Amino acid sequence: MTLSAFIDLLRRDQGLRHRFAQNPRAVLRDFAVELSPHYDVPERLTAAQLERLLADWSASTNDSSPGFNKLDRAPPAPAVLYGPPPGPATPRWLSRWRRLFGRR
Amino acid sequence: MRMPGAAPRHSLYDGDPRKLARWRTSAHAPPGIAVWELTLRCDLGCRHCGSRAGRPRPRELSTAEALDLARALGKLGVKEVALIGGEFYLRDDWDRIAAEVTRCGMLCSVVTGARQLTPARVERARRAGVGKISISIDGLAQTHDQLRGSAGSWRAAIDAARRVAASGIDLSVNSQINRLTMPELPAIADLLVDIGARSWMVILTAAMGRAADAPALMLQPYHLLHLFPLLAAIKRERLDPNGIAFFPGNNVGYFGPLAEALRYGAERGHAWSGCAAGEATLGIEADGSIKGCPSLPSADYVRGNVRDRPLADIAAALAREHDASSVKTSPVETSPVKTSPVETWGFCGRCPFAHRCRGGCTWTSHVLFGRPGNNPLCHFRALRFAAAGIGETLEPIAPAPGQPFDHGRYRIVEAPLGDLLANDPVVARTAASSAFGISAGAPSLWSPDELADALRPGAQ
Repeated sequence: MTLSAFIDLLRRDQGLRHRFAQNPRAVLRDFAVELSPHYDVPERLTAAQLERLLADWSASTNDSSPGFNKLDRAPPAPAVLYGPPPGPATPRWLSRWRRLFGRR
Repeated sequence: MRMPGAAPRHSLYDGDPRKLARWRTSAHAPPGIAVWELTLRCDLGCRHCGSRAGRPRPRELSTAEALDLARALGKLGVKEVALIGGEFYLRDDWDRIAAEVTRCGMLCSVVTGARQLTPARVERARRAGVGKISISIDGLAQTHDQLRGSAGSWRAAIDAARRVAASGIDLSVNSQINRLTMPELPAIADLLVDIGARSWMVILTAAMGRAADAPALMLQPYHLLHLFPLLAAIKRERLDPNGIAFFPGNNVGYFGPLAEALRYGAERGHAWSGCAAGEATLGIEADGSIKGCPSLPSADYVRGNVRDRPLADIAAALAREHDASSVKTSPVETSPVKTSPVETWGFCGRCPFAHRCRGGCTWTSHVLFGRPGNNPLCHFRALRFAAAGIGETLEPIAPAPGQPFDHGRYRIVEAPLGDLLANDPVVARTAASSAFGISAGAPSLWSPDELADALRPGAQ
């Protein structure tokens, strides 16, 4: 069984999840999961490890971080890459003057 | 020529972008960094190499021309010059050029595959005042060696990294992110701590040069759904506690829920603001050709050669080109915003961040579609499609002709996300890496056949 298929199975079978957390090496062997021998599979899995294995990151659109929720608000003024934080905008006449008569 | 006796020390990056040498003090400041390909000659045969490096370019700059160019960069006001290749040390005069960069008041850094970065060369770098050496490490030993096209290259890179760390020069590591390396990123992060790296830059492998010949190597857009949480966990758990600065490359973005967690200086208001080629950066090819960014395809983006025109004139033309922006009112805010001559299209044309993001990395989208402004390799975009149960995939429709900095053509195909994820070995192995960890000393998470398959020309 492929690892992808096994992960899918784990997501759908609560009993298997419990058994896997108790003895992951044996369950992987029982299901003949194709897994690189170079993973450091522990004797027992913590809840956090199981959560990481089964995480569905495609459903994280409800993330509450500020960056994502800016979507429906007016974004701030553009900042300059590697430049200072946004400040008062340069007047257009000054930008034009610098373009025409040098700024360096 | 003055050879400084010791490399300057640079304060450990603390998340404040103003500590970076390439920091620009105002929007009208000259480019902060110039990335200079000293030679196209190379001692590796990297399967992702956009410039197809190996042989030198015809008519590479002479020593005198290169020293003149270093002085011109200093006069222009550039703050950091990053020497790349090919392989920089395959030019015999590389340390004369590095010393001149330093003498002109700029930070000289180098980027190297380090196949032959011997103790003598590290000492020459130190004496020339090189402040930072960034070594390429792409995964575990066998994965790295396959990607770099050279058996033993991983061991050489690790040994060189330890020498650099011991020399007093800042050690940085750069890594390609593609289907082979993504599940191995946690192992690279552990390695960074072990070898004494002070910063880590990651970049998505883009479909240029040799990478364009191996479509099966490159990430699909839906892979970003799993990549970004992995990067955030690595940064939080391995990098930050060890004082290792994290620098996502300019094609690792944009505006998704983890953008602020990953981008340097985000907590201080620093955010992606569109491709800065020609404005904040310059790219120099070994024959003196100048473009706005070193990664851009030469045929479309070279704007002059220092043999024909002064650097300052070419840089001014590039800045004008970048500034050739209209001022208009964005539909989502009332204040005037700068818009780029880059026309966003496709999803990017409808994206609420389009006026600021401008389609992300020009290089990454240009090499996919022949023009910039629509970039499917975006976390925000992948999440938007995922919310509708869709995943975007990139399908090659025309091969690259086989020249340095060339590219083929791709098209976007939408597919049910569940089907894409159900049998995806990259996603499953990444989840396993994140959950279990990788054994110390592991050679690769991929079998030799899998490595070969991913790199076979034309395989998808």
